[in-house]
Amino acid sequence: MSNDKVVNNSYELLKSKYSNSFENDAKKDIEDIISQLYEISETLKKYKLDHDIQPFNAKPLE
Amino acid sequence: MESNTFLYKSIRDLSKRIQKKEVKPSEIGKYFFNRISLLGPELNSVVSLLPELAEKSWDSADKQNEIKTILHGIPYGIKDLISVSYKDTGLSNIDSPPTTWGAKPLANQKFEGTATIVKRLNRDKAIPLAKLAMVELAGGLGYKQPNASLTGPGLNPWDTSRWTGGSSSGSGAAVAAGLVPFALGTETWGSILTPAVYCGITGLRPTLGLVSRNGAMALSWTLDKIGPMCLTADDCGIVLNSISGYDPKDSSSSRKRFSYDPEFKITNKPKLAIIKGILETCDEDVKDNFNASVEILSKFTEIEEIDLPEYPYEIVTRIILFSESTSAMEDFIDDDLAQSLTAPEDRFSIFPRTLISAKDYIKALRMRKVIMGIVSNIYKQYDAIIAPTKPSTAPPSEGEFRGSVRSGYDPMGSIGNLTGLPAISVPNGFGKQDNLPTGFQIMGQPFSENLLISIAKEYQNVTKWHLEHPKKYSGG
Repeated sequence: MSNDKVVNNSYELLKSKYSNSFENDAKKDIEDIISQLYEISETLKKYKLDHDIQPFNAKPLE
Repeated sequence: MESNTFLYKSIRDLSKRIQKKEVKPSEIGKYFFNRISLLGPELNSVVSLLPELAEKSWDSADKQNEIKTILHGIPYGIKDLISVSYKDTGLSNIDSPPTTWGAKPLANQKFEGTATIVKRLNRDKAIPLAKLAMVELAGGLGYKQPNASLTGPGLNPWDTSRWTGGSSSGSGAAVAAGLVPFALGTETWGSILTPAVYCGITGLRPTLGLVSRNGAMALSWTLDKIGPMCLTADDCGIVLNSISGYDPKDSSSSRKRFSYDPEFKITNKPKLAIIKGILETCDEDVKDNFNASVEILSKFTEIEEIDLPEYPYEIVTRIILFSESTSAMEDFIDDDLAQSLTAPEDRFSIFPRTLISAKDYIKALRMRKVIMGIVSNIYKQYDAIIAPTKPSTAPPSEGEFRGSVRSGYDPMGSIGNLTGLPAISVPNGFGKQDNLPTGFQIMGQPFSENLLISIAKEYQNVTKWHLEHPKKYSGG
């Protein structure tokens, strides 16, 4: 899915979930953040990790 | 007794006078209480004064004949995300102060308990004077402007048209203006070191887990730290000694004990690393002052440049911070409180963060492991990494200071906070044009605070930058 489509769909999703929580005049700023988060996600994908690498703090109970 | 002889004196100096019975804790307490009451508001540095608690504390300190700790009778300020309940202090007939987290919609928020660190300072007979201003929700919602606080922008005592830095803005200003001898700050990503350097004071970010966060606002459980902001590195050690230590009320609390050793001697020359290219984004004055510091440090340390492997340090930190803060602020979002925040960008920035996938958060946590490996390799060869604390001096207190999603090159801040490393920032000069403070940081291995403090102390023994204070507040 293209960045534009992701941004548009995501904004609509947020609007439906939090319709009373932010004003429409924040639309451009919110879309900008969504776009940057999408780019960040794409960047993370480029880093391939061995499955031995577990999340930080994944420790057994003591 | 000339009470202004207390002004800009270190904790150690004030304590010597208390121990020699030259002065009573109440005299010092009253002097600083009057000072912060008078001057705190003009710097937007105070949320609440604590007159009843301060008086009770100095009375108690006066009455105790035997002085057991160096903090006995020393006044301090508390960043207003740390809870103080009067019920815990024998003042149950008086309303406790609010703990506002710097946020207008939480201006009347109160908690039942007192934070562990405040209890520890009470145990040591330090005197709490005020809850200090901060950026709303510790800046965790992506604010772009200094005016993102219930109390207005933190104004820098060196030049009130400039910002103090955030999010521990009131703590930075209060120490720099001599309103308190020390203050408590907190850091998730930059919130102790930034106001420390912009305000020309010494700030210490401890190892993650060394200081209990019980009773403090959670922004990011795997990144939040609480630390001292003081006039000197020695004072940072004194305060850290009091507030650190295992606390069963904070599940991330470490059982490793920190014991400040003021006599800690640097035996072999410590090996310090500088990341290649770290100065490229710095202003000329910051570069010049850092290079001058390197020259001084090289008299008692070995300094080499190192290559830092390319990796998305800032992105990994950002995803973790955004994900955890969104979870931490769940009730805040559900209660629809964001709309009442001061900075317009803070009113909506949290919502897009709810879209970050669990997959990306887990990936970031796993990449954090890789970064810990990178860091571990560096510390096999070096005792600490040094760098300018910030690439420029304090920005204006009006307008915006950064773009919408937190951006920029900050390997020291991202790596240090991501992997829980301690760091100390010390003043090292001034900008030639704006005459505002610059500083450098020393970042070490986990639990290496004694070494970092000793290097900073050695530097402060042969320089006088930490003894410079804003003329307007020093009567100069």
